[in-house]
Amino acid sequence: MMLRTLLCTWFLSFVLSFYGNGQNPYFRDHPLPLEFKKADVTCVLQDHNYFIWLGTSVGLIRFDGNSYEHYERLDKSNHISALYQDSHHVLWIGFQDGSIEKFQNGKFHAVSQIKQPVSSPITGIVEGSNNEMWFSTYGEGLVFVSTDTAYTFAQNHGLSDNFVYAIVRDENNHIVAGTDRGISVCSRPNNKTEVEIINTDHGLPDNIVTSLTYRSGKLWIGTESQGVCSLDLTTRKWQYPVQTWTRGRATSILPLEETIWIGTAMHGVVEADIKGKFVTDISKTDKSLPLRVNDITMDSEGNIWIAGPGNIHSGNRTFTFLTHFEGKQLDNVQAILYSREGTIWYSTNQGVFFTKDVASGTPKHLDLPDLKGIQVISLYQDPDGYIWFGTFDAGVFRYDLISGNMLQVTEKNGLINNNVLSIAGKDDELWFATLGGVSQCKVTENKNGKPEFVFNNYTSEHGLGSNYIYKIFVDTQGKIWFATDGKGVTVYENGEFKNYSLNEGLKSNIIYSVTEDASQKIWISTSNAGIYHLEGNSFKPFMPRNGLRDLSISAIIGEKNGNILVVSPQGIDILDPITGVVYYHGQEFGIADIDPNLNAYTIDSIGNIWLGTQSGIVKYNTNIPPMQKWPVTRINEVQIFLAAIDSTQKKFRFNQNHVSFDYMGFWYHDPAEVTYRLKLEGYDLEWVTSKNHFITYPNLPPGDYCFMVQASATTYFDGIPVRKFAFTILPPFYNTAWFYGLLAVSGAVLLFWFVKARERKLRAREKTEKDKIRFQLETLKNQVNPHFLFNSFNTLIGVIEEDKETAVAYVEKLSDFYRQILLSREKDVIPLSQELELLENYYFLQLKRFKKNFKLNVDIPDDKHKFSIPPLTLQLLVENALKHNIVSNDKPLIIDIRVENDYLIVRNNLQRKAAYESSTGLGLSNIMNRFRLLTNKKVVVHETPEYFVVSVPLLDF
Amino acid sequence: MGYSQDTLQVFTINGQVHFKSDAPLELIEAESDALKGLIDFYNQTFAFTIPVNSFKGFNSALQKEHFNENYMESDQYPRATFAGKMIEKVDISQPGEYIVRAKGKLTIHGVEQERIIRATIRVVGESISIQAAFSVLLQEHNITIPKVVQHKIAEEIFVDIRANGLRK
Repeated sequence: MMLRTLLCTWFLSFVLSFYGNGQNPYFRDHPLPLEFKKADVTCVLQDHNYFIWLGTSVGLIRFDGNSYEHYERLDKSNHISALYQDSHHVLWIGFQDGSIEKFQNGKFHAVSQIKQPVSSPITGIVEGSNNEMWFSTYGEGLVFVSTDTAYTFAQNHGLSDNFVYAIVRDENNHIVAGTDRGISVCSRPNNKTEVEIINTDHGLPDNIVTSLTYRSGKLWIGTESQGVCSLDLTTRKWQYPVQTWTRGRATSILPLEETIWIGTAMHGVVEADIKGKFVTDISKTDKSLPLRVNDITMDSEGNIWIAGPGNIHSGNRTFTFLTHFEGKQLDNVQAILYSREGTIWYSTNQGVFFTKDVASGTPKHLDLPDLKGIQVISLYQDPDGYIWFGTFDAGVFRYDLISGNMLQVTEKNGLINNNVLSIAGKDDELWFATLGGVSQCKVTENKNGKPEFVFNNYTSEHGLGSNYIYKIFVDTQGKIWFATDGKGVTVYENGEFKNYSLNEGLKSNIIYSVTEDASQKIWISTSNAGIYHLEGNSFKPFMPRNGLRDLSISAIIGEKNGNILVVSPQGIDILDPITGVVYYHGQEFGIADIDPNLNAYTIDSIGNIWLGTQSGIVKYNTNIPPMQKWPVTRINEVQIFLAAIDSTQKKFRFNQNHVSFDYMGFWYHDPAEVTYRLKLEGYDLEWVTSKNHFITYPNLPPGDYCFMVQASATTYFDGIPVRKFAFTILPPFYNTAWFYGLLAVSGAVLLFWFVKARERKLRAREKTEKDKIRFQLETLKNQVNPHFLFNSFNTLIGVIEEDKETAVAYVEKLSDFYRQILLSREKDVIPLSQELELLENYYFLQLKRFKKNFKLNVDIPDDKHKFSIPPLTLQLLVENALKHNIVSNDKPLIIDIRVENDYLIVRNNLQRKAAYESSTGLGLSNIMNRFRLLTNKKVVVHETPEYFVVSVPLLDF
Repeated sequence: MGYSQDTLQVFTINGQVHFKSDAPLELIEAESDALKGLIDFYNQTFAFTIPVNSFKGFNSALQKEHFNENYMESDQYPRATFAGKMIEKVDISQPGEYIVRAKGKLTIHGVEQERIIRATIRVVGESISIQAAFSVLLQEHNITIPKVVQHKIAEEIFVDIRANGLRK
């Protein structure tokens, strides 16, 4: 139980003496990667993308809270001596060897305007008006770079000295340089540089000005040996916050609201009150900080960054510590009180102390003989200004601040019990919580002017839950709350006690602490069952959305900004009761194992909360506005197949569908707490939470997507701005509208061609049809040609007279011939055998007429008879030959028909008639046309002086 | 004719340098009066030089030899120099005592270090006297002491200067 721990500490005693020392934030070391361990960090800045940039003796290092990225120039010195980011977000880098580079997109770029580089170290960079840049050098004055030119501005031009340590710009566009011989205020009216020199004659404490910072109208000046001062350049008012300075060169200055932080070359970090109330050597208590400080800056979260040899530190002022005096640990602070005089009172095993100067926290021991050997475990200041000490076993003491008189009040005076754990007051009543019940006390004066204590004592018999009371809390309504050990929480209102215990919703009856939030709601903490808040008539457990870090809660405290501090040995959970979200504060704030004492807290006049712990005093600064409520989320890089792309690109081809995102939640004061919530709209249905800062979406189908990411320090994401990257994966070419269009057009063209070709074919067929009809007609006309018939009949007459039988045969052949013509004329092709049969009939008929003057030799092997041929082809060719040639005894007509390479060759000896029989001339061309429709093989007509040859292809049908 | 404003303010300096090494096991002291220099009060610049082998004293002749050969390597680096500028102004027309800081490069053992050294300049009529004291860290000038003699030679050497100057 808590009592036991309290008793244990009671037996522990230390003999320590305390001297003045201030409050420090907790500084975390950010160790550089091993290979840069010996690097000197010369300068540090935060860019507009929230990255921390370190200028070091081995190049440029980018830090995001987790990892380091190193950049260096090839074959050149990488000893960086100055860093600056201009209004266009360009990083300017000055080197020890005098070179100057711009740094953009991960690369160094030379400054083209500088034709003649300096060889002295670059000590400072600042942007002037009209995109002009100024550089300070250590040995060659200033370098001025405009958009088209560069020149140096040195002592011979009027500069106070060529050794320049620092350069800043004021609100009126003056360029202010700190040199070995004072300050040069440069301005450029009409493009001509004018200088005004400020030195010891004008109030500067030291002519060697080693650092400059300009903030809200004030020029802060750090010097070689006379400390720091400020100058209002308009009113010329000087301020000297530190009267005697013994800390050597000031290398850097960070002005804050009420104090300035000074980096020194040999004495570490110094914090000085602007009004001159105190100076604190931060590095004396925090040995981790470097003694040579090169640079101090503050980031967007309010962290203070300190750069030194081989390391970089950051500290957050949310919590400050009073843990050491003169290097010695301050032990167990059991009770703490902020008094109306602006003094912090606190008790340890060594007695009671007070710090008159709250800001610096310089404590003094209060030597009170009455308290010798007595342990003070509670402190209170009553409305009359008396300080009350609650003790173990010795009742309470009342201390008169003015007279120094001490008055002890014990059980003898009517106090219910001599162990007083908590003291509270309401109007003129005092309430004492003890291990034996509570005492209500009114102080009056008797006739002799002596105080009289009138007690009303209450125990469990009066309705109090238990007689062991850990905390009394008076709420804004005037109700008095008692946290009891074993019987829940009891409230006293209008003379009556009301108890809340297991029946009223509590899971534990051991209550350690009671408080009230900004909306007057009562909150309690239990020994191991978490926290509860009063809803109507019962206490409801309150489990923050992201849980409590530790359930052994030593105090629950409502603070002025509306939050509730849940104090535990693991640190402090700051609960926002409206969102139900807890912000953990532990390791990274230096309060992971502070071991706070039960209800050892006080709230000062401006709302800061001071906690007594087993290792000194921790102060929660409620007046430092939270600069950022949540981590800044940033999408650092978009990658396609793990190669970074220009993030302005938003459209990807169908095969660029392996997309990765590198994102970051900047939360320098506790990077390990950052959790991400991601969603790829168009792909994910739900948000995904992750601790990684990289994600890959492989094989995305074509479509529109939007990558969304949020970073939170609490795993709670409502209200946190979403960073987005919308992109499109295009469909493949065969899936695009233009491709479909092209397809449709080419289809139409094809169809058009097809229609056209078909039309042509139909037309050709139609023509063939006509040709065929005409040919048939022609043939018929031929066959019924009166000449043919007349000739045939004349022949027949001759034969009848000579040979009756032959005449009969002739007529039979004639009729066969005509029947064959009629049978075959409708067909496209007939077998060659059939044609030969027809030809034989025709030859028989003609032979009777021409006798020996006409000879037809047919030499066709039988195996060729299976081939086909358009009907009447041979008959027509033979008829043509008879028609156009002389057939006489002297010149007989000989026609040879044979087969050669699947061609029928019809050859006659050429002996043209002078005037041949009338002809339509269609015969030969008709044959050609018919063959063209049936085959690709051509009908060849060949004429020599002796022969007329027609070759017709045999058809393989 | 007469002097120009510039040359009127140039002083030639002669003086002594004394150093002391106060190690746990041995105290070594040596002195040289071969310090020479120039101070230009108009331009606020100065230059001093001293031959390293001009130091006398020591606890033994062997020690002096060690000093010259092993530590200072005076054959290779025969001179120690200090040159630079004065931060504070001295009005040499006004007799009196001025405390000035001399900022410049101190070269010992061939190694240059930027130093700011406080000096007292007393103006008496036509002459001046200068007094200064500072310390030199051997490590800063790349002077390495063997482990064996580390208790006999201090890491930090205290140097005193006394000099007088006359108008050139």
